[in-house]
Amino acid sequence: MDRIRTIVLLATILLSAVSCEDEPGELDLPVRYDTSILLASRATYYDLQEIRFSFDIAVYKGDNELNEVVDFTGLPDTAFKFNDYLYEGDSVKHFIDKVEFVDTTMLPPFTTMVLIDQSASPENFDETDYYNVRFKAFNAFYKNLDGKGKVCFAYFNRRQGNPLVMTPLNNEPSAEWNEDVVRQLLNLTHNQSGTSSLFDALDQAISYIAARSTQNTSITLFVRNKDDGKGSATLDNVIQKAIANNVKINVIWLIPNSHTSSVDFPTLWKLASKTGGFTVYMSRIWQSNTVFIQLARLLRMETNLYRVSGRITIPPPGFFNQVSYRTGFYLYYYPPGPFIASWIPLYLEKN
Amino acid sequence: MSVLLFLIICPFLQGQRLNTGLTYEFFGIHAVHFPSDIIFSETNYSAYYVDQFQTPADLNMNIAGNIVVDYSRLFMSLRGGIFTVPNGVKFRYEYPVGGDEFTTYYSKMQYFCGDISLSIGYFMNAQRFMKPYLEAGVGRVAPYMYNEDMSDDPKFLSQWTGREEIKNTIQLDKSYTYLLAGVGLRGDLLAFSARYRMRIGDFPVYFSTLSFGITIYTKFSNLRKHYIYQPED
Repeated sequence: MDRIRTIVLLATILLSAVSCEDEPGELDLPVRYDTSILLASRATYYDLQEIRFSFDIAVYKGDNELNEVVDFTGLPDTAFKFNDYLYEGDSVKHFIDKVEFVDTTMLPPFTTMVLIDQSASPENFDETDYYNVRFKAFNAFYKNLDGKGKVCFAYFNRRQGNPLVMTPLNNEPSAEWNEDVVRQLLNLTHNQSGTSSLFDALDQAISYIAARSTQNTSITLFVRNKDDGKGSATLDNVIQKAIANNVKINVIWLIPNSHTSSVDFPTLWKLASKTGGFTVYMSRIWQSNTVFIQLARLLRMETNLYRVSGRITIPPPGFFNQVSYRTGFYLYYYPPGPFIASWIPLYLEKN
Repeated sequence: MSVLLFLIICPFLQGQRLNTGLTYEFFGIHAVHFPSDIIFSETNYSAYYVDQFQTPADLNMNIAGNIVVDYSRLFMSLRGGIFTVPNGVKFRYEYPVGGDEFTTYYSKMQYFCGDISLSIGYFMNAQRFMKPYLEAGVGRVAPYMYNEDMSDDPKFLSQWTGREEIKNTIQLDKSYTYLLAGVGLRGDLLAFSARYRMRIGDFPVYFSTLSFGITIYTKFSNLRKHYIYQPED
């Protein structure tokens, strides 16, 4: 019997050992590309043969070696490259006069609605994001608010027989990560349908968010298609309502270079520029990861930016359209990573 | 607790029949119920759809020593050994991608645990050569090695080695107590058994194992078999 007791006691000691428990690790961020965010652009002088302009652009590194997104510092003036070309028979030339790297003033905690385009026509996310990278980007943003602000998610589309053009996923904006909201975001993957009710959805979204916040309030639009023209709200109405309610509209648009006809860039630019928001044009879904991971900081303006001043000229008898001028430039990243350059569209309007 | 109980009871059973044995459980079915149809990755910002009830089955390598005390139609069994799945327990979950399709992923857990249990059984028919019995008891599992891999290939020919995607959901790396219920057929030297272990305690996932095994009994060395009554010849 002594032997039995010895065996049993040894077994007891063996089993009473507590297995070591690891600390929960930091989650790996999704794959990222270098990305630039156009915070503002303006025409400072607009004449027949010359347009002077300046723009503010925040640039973020898609450094996948780091498990964070950092500002892309040290870009040389030559990183900003316009293409000279013929316009109405004459040679249009672009000049970069000055590039400054400046700091910003931090804004108070934000309240934003992430408004997701769920329309499926003429484009849908399957073509640019077949592997549903965007969900990880949304979740990474949502899980890392770090007290910087409150967020609610909503989606929009227009479906036949369905009067709802904008559907919130949260009841109220919240700083807390919520499993049910994330479940609904995951469910959105296969729920793309209908056409874009962009203006109607924005109209409702402004009412929704303005009723819940009065300070640093914004709508962050993740857009795929242009408005279908079937709604009652118009671009001007939406902009006026946003300005009246102090709501900024930020535009993140994901369009391959060959599909730009599906969106209306001047419209998107006006939505952002006239309400004080920013625009991000992306041709690769991996850029959206960079944007959304950085979004909480961006909404509080915890960022550095490049302030670029330049000129566009055309010799007589050529002249520029005296209402607006549409151009764009490539931002080359030095050193280049998996992504060499971003195309950044610019829209300059005569004041 | 079960061991202490056994220690207390043993001195009172010195006059009973005492057997030792070696058990090998070779196959197990793991009935698992997840609390939700969605699980969140523990390594990145993904979330997955999961079938809430899954029953992965695989080879077991549970080897245990037994001490069995018989008392008429009742018996008490103390079993201690290792509890392991050499090929791993595989769980399946899906990530939604475009075009109404899903990418299916698998997590495979391999663990090596110490396992001790105490059960009380009852022979339903003591007249047969192989006596059918029922047993119930309690046990404890303490893992000493835990490994998790992830793959999109059910055969794991390629994998993300060591990627612990649902470790904290399943929590098989933690010690746990279980209730057991079993049935079997026992002869003088051999027994066949099926044991169902149900993990209890504060765990997010219901985890249980139905394992099938065989036990070979030997006479305990230096001890004679005793009987509380003289059986009739």
